[in-house]
Amino acid sequence: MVGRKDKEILTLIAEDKEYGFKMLVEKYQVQVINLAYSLSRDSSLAEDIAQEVFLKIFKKIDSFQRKSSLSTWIYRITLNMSYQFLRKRKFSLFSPKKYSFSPEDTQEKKEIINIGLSRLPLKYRIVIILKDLQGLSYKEIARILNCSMGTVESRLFRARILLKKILTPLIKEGL
Amino acid sequence: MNCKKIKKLIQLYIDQEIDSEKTQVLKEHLKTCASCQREVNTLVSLKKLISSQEKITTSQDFIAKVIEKIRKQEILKMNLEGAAKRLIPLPLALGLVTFIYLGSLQIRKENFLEEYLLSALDEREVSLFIDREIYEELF
Repeated sequence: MVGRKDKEILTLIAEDKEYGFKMLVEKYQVQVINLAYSLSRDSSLAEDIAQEVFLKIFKKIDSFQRKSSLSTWIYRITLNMSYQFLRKRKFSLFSPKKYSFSPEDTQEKKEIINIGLSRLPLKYRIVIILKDLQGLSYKEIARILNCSMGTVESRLFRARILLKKILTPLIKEGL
Repeated sequence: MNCKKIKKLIQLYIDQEIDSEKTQVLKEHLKTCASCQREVNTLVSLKKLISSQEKITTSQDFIAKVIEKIRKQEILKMNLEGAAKRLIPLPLALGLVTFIYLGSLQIRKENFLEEYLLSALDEREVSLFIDREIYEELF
């Protein structure tokens, strides 16, 4: 994360809401859109979700009680908003192309990983996305999902076992 | 330590969540266990592939679009409030408020039912998103 510290942003928002809010968007827009994108795999939809996330933040920032950190709060709103958008689409969480070949190069492997991720149950997919794509620590993930670090650890463990099982028949020569 | 326990340490290692004591135990085990060495290589490759997934950026005018939406919503809200004050006499306003309140009760009931049915379908997944703390902060 780059830019100003969260505390400074919150102070700016208290002094000049629009200016402070612009600073907040500037700092978090990349994380928000990529979290939405990793769940939807649709860049246009991810941008719409990101806009709604920041609208929600603007409306609710005055009542933000600082029970959690600002980043945790933003991640939670993004997860909820993504979920709401995707639910409207009847859980059509990114529909990957069908592959009937054995992938040889890295780009193909990445596509296969997409398929693997799409087949993981949501609770496992989310921990993988937060850990491996967003690069968050167990502690941060636990705060976002409101669970213990032990739960994060065990979900990640199971997620990777499942992912390997899903990928094995798709990637013949192995990872 | 057996391989089953070592696999948990391997995960901590690749996630950079391991302490120095456990790192030492893992290193000692890997010296003599080819199967766990393969597991390390597989998980490292998997993590590398996942983390190198395509990333996107917001459009150049993203902030402007968000601010525009906020302004539109604020103008709409102000207009509605103004119109309500000017146009609706008190008895009618009270009637309207009661009507909206009763309507919202019905919507809440329906939403609750929808949430319940969804959670009955897949309680573990949906519960991620409807925990009390999140809702307290959001709504």
